[in-house]
Amino acid sequence: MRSKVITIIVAGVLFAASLEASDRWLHLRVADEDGTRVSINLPFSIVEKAVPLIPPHALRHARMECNGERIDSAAFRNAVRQSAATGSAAYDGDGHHVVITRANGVVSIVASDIDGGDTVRLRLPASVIDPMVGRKSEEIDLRAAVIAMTQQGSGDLMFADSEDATVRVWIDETP
Amino acid sequence: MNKSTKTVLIVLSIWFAVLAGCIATVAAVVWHHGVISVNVHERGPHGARIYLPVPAFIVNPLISLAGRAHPCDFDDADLEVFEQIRPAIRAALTEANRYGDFTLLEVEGRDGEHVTIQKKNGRLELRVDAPDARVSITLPESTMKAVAGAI
Repeated sequence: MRSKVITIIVAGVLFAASLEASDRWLHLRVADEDGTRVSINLPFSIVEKAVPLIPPHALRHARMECNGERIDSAAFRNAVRQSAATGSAAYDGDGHHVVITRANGVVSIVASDIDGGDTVRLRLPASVIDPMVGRKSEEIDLRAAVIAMTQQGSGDLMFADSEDATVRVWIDETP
Repeated sequence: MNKSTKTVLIVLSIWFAVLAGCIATVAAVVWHHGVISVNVHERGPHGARIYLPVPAFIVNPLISLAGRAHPCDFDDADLEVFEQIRPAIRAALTEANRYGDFTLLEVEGRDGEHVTIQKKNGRLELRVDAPDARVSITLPESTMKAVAGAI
């Protein structure tokens, strides 16, 4: 009788663990100032299985932009690395000023247009952004960031807002 | 009943049995593979209504064939990128087939458009609800598997 109870408890724990692993959902919400709303809900296991199959060089053409201006990946990478050591860093890019600060494992990035245009604010976990600027890579490694996301638990992954739109990405257990 | 009448009746019975068997087989195949449906409904008093059901067992082999064809409309750089991410797309589609009902994408446009892509009852449904028309396209699970296999 006792062994049966132990077997049932072990089976229950394993089942709960499998639910934990496979029942997470990745959500993306975009709200534009003109009223457009976009909502994407993706089983997280899709991300976990698909992303590692993308070869690192397949995303080499990926780049980041701020208000249509390409962000200098080398300067951005150096600033993020510097902020890990000092808690904050800033640099002037092509037409924009970027300030990076860290607190409680969250990295905040504020990119403002030098000509007084839009300001974009971005918050994401340090555990996601640090692999993007890993020491091995000379480029911004988006694949490493996505793989780091797959290792995150439930909670907010990214929040970005500007004058005309907000974007939120998070993981939870509801479809 | 004379002999020739009997013969005609027997031949007719066999013919109807074969016909019923064929119809039952086709119905079973259609039921098993599902139906791809396209439904368009224009709004307004004289709006057109189009409903086009296509048995998936006809389309699925064509999807498999299309997957083997060399797409000429893409340049080599695009094809190279696609080849690199092909296993990831295939894995994503295969994994998506494992899940029950969920809404993959929902877009609410500023002019009242509403677009949803959802998996419902094992089928993938695309619905576009615009001020001037309503369109829905439904793909059965067998077609999603055919697309995953073709990729």
